[in-house]
Amino acid sequence: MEAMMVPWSDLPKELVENISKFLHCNIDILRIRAVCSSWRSALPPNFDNFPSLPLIKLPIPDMIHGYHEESEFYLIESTVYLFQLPHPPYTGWLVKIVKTLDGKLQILNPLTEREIEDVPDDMPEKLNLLDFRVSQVSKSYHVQWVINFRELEYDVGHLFEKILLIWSDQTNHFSLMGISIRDQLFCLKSGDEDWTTLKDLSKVVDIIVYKGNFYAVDIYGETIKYDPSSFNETNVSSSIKMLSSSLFKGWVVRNDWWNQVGSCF
Amino acid sequence: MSSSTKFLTLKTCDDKKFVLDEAIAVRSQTIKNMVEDDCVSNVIPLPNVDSKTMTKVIEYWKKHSEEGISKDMLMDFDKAFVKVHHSILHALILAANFLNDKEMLDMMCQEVVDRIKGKTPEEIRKEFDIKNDFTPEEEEEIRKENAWAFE
Repeated sequence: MEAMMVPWSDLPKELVENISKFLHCNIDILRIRAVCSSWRSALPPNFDNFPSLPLIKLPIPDMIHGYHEESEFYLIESTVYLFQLPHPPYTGWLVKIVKTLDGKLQILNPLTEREIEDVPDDMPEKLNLLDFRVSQVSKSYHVQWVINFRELEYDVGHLFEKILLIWSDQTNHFSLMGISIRDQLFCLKSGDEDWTTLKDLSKVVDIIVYKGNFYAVDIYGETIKYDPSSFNETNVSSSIKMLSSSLFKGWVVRNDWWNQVGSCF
Repeated sequence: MSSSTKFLTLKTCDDKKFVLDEAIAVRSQTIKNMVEDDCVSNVIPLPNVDSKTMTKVIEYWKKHSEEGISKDMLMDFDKAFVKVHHSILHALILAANFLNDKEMLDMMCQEVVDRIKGKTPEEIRKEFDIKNDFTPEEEEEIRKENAWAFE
């Protein structure tokens, strides 16, 4: 008896579910639901096609003085996608998409972080994911300053050089780490009433999330790992004494091959 | 420590027999349960797996049981192992599921995901030879589901 060709559309429901667990981008889940009726019925229908974070209202950072009393601060997530035509000439576009507080989507230039204003007038107001190859490239965060429910421009209220989020789906808790415009390191987790300054590091130049932990590097190359629930620190690499000039700019670099994090100047 | 190796005979749905070291065969949780419950007579029937697929499975099990094999070599083996026609991939997923070998099943699912990622639904259908069986009404619903409205 030769093996029968069983069509993929007959794949048992639990296996379609199992496969979907390996998809981390929800667009790919939408895609599976658009392939055939049996795959469609294997995965739940009711979800937003642009899932966003629950609204996270942030305490007022210490560094803000003389703020308007109606000021509110929210964490906003943006995602960079690669869109590509599935047919010649296979043109690709990198776009950053952000959902504003009132639930609308905006297309930003991923480099300038500004709204793309010179979009052709004939560009449809609706973009259909079915017409493109779509890959999620990265996610990033910023703090949106709102006064009287009016969202201020992106740059006004630029408080953090960089802000990162670790979100736990199991507990629905979040942890945030940010570098302020004064190179200070701040952290905040669900339930905290205020930001905590992580005083031990000064002159922080970069932070990243790697394997569920935060890492920060200062201008001397000292790299510290922070546990997201306690913000307990572990020294990963000590400082490089020679580099004391603030002319040096460093980045934290992840190296998946060696399974470690290091700094790069 | 016992030095005697126990062997099991596995019989696939096309009546082919495979004699295998028990220590290797118990990578399958299904077979392991049968061995532990002592309900193994001479031959273990595998009614859901054909011999062609079982040969691949055993190739995987043997490689992953080799003593002293390096992580890099296993990675290279796995990479080559999953590069098969989608019909074989499909058979391997069903086999790994029936045999309850989670490690192998996860690897196969990851390969399916790698073939799906970034493609349009039309391209996914082509990749896996799937027929579009939606009604025009469903098509309409799917287009709505995939629309992003901008300001």
